[in-house]
Amino acid sequence: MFELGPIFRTLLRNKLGALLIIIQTALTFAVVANALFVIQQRQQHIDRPSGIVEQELFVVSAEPIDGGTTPVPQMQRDLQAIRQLPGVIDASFVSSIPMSNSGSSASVNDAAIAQPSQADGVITNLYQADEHSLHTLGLTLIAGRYIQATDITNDSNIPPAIVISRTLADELFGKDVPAVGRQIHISSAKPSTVVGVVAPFFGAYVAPIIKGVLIAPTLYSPYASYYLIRGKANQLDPLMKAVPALLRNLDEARVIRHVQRVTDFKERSYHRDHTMVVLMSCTMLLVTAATACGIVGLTQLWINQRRRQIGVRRALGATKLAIVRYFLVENGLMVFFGLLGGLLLALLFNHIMVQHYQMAALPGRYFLPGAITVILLSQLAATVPVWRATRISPALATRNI
Amino acid sequence: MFNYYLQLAWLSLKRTPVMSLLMLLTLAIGVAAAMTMMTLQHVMSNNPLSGRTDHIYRLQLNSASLDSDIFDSLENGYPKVLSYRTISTLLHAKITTPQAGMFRWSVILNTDDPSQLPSKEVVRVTSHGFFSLFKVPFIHGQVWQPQADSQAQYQVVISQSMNQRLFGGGNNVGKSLYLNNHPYQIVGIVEDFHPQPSVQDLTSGPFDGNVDIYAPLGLNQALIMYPYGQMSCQSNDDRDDSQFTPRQDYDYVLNNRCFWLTYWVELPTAEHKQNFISLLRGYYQQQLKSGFFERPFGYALSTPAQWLKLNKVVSDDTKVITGLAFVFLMICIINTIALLLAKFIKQAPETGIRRALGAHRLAIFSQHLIESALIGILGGLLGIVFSQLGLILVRHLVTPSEAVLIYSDPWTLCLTLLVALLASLLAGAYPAWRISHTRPAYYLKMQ
Repeated sequence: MFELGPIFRTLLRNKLGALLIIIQTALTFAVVANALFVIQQRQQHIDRPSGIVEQELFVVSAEPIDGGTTPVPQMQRDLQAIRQLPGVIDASFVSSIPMSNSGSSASVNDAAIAQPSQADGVITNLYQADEHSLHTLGLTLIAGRYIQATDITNDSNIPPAIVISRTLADELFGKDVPAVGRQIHISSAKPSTVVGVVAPFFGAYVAPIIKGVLIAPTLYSPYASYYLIRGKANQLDPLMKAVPALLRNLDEARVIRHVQRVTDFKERSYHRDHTMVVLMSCTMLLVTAATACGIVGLTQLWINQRRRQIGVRRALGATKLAIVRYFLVENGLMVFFGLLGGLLLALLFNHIMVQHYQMAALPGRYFLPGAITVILLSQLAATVPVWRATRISPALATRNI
Repeated sequence: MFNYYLQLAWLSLKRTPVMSLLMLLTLAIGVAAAMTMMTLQHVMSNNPLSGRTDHIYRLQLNSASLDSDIFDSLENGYPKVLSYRTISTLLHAKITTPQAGMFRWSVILNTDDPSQLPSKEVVRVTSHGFFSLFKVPFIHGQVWQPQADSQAQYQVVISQSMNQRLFGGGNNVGKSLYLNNHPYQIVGIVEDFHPQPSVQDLTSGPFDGNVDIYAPLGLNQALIMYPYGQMSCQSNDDRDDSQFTPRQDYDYVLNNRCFWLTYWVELPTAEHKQNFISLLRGYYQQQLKSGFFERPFGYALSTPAQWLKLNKVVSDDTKVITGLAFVFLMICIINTIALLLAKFIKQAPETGIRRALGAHRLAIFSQHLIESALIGILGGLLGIVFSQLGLILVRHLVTPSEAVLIYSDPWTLCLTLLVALLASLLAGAYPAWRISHTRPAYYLKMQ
């Protein structure tokens, strides 16, 4: 019923055309399988929950004109004034802008280990903040207590009481092991004690190489300091004008800048991944469209070449469906060989990407959607000219015998 | 004969407008996709200092700790930046060719003009050799004296743009500006030195290393300057930081394993290079004994082009997409083969008559090859138009500082036409061969 024999022999006679479709199918499969994988990976990376309310946050930096740092009493006065503004839910001092990929990191380890080796050190984000940061960032406290005003120190040491994220706790002490009360060593003489644990969130970094966040209650930051302000998502614009004006009123002799939403910094951090997703999707679409056009064209060519054969078959009693089936089976046979070759090509492409471009190895489950896409694509593409072939009138087609 | 074949080709194209258009579009889109990505890569891997300065090298040392990998080491295993001890040793080592040890520093800039608001600026703090090393010409004045590299002298050099912005242009050598509220005297005004990418300093990304103000290195101790950019410190001892004054903290940074500086040197001949390397080796072995360095002697001297490559200014992602774009071009070429084959077979009766009248196989082959070439040229021209559209899309996707660089230069446009021509010849070779080998009798019979 499937007439595989005659179809196969016909293809052998038309080797070039068949080869062209097989190569195209193979390349399309290889591209689609790899592209789908990369797109999904990147999108997953971008879609990771941030753990903070970034749509409601913006930052402001206010630096004194002599290039030094703002004295602590002035910072507290600034923040008090900002919190009184209508529309401000809360405001807090932070040492780096959330999700900006710019901040301070250090290697920390469990103080209980007597002689820590390199493997015991965990690289984490050091995030200096005040007691309002829980509410400003929208963090979730899951154990112990958050930092309080009494915990805040104002020198360059890591304070004795710290709060860490669950991610850092998992890395240091083990998955879901209770961390409250344990001590952490951060390259200075005295270890610090964990007084609370918060749910995972992004501090300054979104890169997975930095594990978790260590919140240090201090108003001292050696590099930069920012006021982080939380308001309702649709009321941020007027606040972004009101807060700088307020700060200027409080003290003329400083430079106010970086007045930006936290979502801007988030977009910039994920920018490369987003570009990759868009360009990959475009290329994948172009490749599938080109192959579809190619299949339409070649199938139309063959149908034109075999008008007479189709006419004869119809005259001898073949149904329209039989003609359609014939050509779809022929297409299916070529796609089958194409998929075989495509499998090898997909693995080859992926191997090159893994070796030279730091991509991950393609898992087997991406072959199935790739194969289904290619099969559907080519069958649909072939159907277009084939359907017109069925309307060839047997009488006209056999005229020149 | 060439002109005649060209005419034939043009007539043949006009006879089957739909098919010709399809072939043109296929080729054009394929070439455009590939060339858009090639342009992006070409622009991003552009070495802005090529031809301007030869034989300048960026130094790296094998200074990572034994028991940790700094995750900001480059592919060759060496950290990006150097320690203060290395820089001051090299600057004092009586090297006769130009050299520059530097870092960036952020300040608040102010002038005597009350109408100008104070602003935050990034300053390059460097030794005096920077300008002769990178061949940055002075418009007015000159660089500070060599003593300013080790003693605090409150002088600056500014760029022409900064000069324009602060004073409206002119010779303002001798005037003052204020950095962090302290007066600095302007001793020189240079032309803008804004290479894209900023090869001289890639520590904050490919385009963030350009500045408009330069200050002498000797100021760093007086002002306790921390760098604006990357700094990583490794300490094995336990220090209680609260006991130290800021100056003691800074002295610790200067004397211990803290890495934050950049160093370039000009080594015009092999002899200069050898001398430099033996100087380096001597210093390194000494520091190895004293425990300052932990790993065996290793160094890297990279030219600007090599430095760009090491820092992966063209990201791996871009290279993958470029590869995909060329796969797409291959598929387009395959489609074009099929279309050309169909077209030539359609013209077979005419070809049969020509062969019967005595045309050589080679003549038929060249005629059809020229037809493919014509499609190639036309497709290439259309491809140039499409690739401009592609570049517009790419400009929207990259960061604004990168977007400025993305445009086609004449070299890329010529390459587009060349790629299209090659693609069409590749596609047309087999169909032309096939047509030239058909038996004329068969097609004559089909009249």
